Amino acid sequence: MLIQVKLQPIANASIVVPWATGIQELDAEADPWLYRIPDPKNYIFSEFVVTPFNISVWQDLWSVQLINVEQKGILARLARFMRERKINIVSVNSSTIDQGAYHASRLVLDCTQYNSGVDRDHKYRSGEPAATLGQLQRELTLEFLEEVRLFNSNHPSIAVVRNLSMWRLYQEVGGAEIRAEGIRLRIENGKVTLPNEELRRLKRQLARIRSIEPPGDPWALTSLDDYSDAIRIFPFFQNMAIVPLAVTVDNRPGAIAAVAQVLSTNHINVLASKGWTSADQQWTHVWMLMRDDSQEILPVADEQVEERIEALLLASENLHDFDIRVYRVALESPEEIAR
Amino acid sequence: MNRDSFESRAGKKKEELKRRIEAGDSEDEEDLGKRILVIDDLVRAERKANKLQKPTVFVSFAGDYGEELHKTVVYPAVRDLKTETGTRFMAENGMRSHGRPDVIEHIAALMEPCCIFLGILTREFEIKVDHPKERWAPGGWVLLEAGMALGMDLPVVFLLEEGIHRNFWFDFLGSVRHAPFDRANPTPGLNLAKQLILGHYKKLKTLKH
Repeated sequence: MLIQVKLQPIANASIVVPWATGIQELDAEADPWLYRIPDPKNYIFSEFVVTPFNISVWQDLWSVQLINVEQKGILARLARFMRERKINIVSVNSSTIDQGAYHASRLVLDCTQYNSGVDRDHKYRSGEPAATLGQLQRELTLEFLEEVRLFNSNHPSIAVVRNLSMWRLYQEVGGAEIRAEGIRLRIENGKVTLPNEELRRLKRQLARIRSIEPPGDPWALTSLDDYSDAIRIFPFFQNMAIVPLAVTVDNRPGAIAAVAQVLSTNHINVLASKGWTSADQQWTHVWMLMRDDSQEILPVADEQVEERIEALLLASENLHDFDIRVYRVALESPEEIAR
Repeated sequence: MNRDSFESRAGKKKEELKRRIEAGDSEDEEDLGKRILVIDDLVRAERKANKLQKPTVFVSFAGDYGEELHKTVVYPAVRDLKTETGTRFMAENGMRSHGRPDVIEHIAALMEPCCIFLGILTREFEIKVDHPKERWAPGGWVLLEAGMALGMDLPVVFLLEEGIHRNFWFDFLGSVRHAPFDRANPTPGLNLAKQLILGHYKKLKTLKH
């Protein structure tokens, strides 16, 4: 699931890599891959993905989540268990929890070489969105029956879950279109930087669509998908009728719903949003990246857009007794919202 | 990887845990008991998953016409069904159980590996009812075996000859779609029954297993 949405510059700027260890010596050996994702409608590039997993495993990528009593040898047994089944562990995150009583692990598995009578083979699973590894989960549960944490007999703390995000991404863009586009990045101090050549290529491709090269450097909406260890990067330029605005409104029920309704009625698509309540609980702040599908409210390079949006909101019956302010988030320097 | 079957290993583990409970050591008996229940759940799920690998339909019928219909039309039609990978469906029935002292147990054993139940309800006994069309009762065995199938959580499809009184099926399975047929031309009803079987199979496949 996409969370931790951020708006940030991507030219000569770095992007935090959440799966970095924080130890540069180790991170230097890591594999963050950058893929350009073409728009499936026209196969012109439209966004980036940064992920620790090479595209060759996207179609058969699974994670095991296990909570077991804290004791020696569990990881070795897990590794042996997977090796016996020709399953490659591509990522491990684990930690002791509950004052050292238990250990929680998340392993990401490349199952491209794994076959079983019930779970079938890679070819079947690659093409079947409803594929499961039920047999593997049962075998794993039996293997760790005495160590697995058990809240009740119906719920041993063990699960094998498909990385549907990466599977879906592969299906949507047709695999072959992005196969050759993977680029190895380098993690520096827990961050990666997109190569300038990639941003120049982006500009050229967007110029082909719009017949004019986008001005300035791109910004991007970055969304961390912590479930699938991927960062989705949706780039945009300032001439694309995409505007970041912040809305501050009384912290009362119905406020956000009414704001969203007004925007929707006026064909304004909210591409991303992030909201929070002020410390004194009086105000709700919502940052939104808006795109005007009708190009009437947010025409390109308009400087009065926040006033226009504010007027629309105040004109709404459902918001007439709310206190509302709309702020433009300057792309040159992100501003802190204050009242 | 050469190992005992899952059920065999699960069974051994279960016996081990039981022995430890009976030994009355200082172990947490309640916890061990819960883990035995986990094993039972795992074995049930494994059996269910294995059923779908080589799907078998348990076909139940009664009477001379029922037997003839099964032999000449229904059995070949079920065998003609295929999974998405091209595996043919198998067909089983309980007719070999007749005359055995443990007939119910034997039928249960034959039904257990099956994943879907197809009951052929044919007009066997004319009954005195105040109904213009539904004036027949089916053979009792089909209803008994349908009950056994429901108890085993098998999805049930009825191939239902026109004229069977609804008291014999509607009250307990009326909410489920069935395949009515006319003795003079059973083909349309049989085709619907095949679709229903495949529909149940697909649904079983998508359930977590």
